[in-house]
Amino acid sequence: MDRIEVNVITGEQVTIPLTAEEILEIQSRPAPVPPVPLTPAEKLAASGLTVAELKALLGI
Amino acid sequence: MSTLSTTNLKNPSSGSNNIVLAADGSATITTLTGTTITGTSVRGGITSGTAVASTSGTSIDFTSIPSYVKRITVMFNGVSTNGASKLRVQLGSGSVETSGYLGSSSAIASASAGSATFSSGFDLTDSEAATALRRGIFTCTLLGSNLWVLSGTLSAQDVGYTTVTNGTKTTSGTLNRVRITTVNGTDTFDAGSINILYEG
Repeated sequence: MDRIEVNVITGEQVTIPLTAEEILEIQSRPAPVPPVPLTPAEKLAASGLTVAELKALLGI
Repeated sequence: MSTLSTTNLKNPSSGSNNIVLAADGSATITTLTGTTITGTSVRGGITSGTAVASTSGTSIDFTSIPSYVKRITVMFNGVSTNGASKLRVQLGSGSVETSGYLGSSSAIASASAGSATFSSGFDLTDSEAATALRRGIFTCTLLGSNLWVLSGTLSAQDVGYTTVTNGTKTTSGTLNRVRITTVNGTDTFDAGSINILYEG
């Protein structure tokens, strides 16, 4: 893994391999928590529809 | 061509020197509008960094940002990575700082919205799709005492998302670097370009 470093004064751009310490820090980061699936009630609420409107839409 | 050797220039009616020439070759020019020029750094104006192709590397650092800078604009042009980790912007004084960020980021799509707080960097909530090409700007403005306020938006037209992010970060000293990376730190940039403007 590499880091690109740009000096804004000189414009010099260098590619620097990450150090072993930096790679260890990255590997120790917690894995992202997967999003919790919405319940049917939450999906309905997110849609902005009421139960009555949904029934009318479906003709039931 | 002859050289005039002097240290100060002033209008006879001016109460102070208009131009001060230092021994190191730099000059400080004071105008009615308060604009000063010192060395190669133009204060009061906007200076562009060098655009970087964000097509490789796991992070991109803009370093040697002058100490007088009070506002930094980070510009994203079609930036993509090869994974689904969020983009992360971090600030630093000497080294990049990985804690103390306060704020949240929201992603808005045509039929949904989501939001998340952050603490290890300004984490930009979006579709988190590897195909997303982010376009937009973020500004970091110095409120005072090394306290920086960040605000910005990105769009990912191809995946139909707009990201809104706001937050603050107090750096341990005078800011001199900005890093653009990802939350997991392992995804690699694979498209687009990034640049910064700075002013003070």
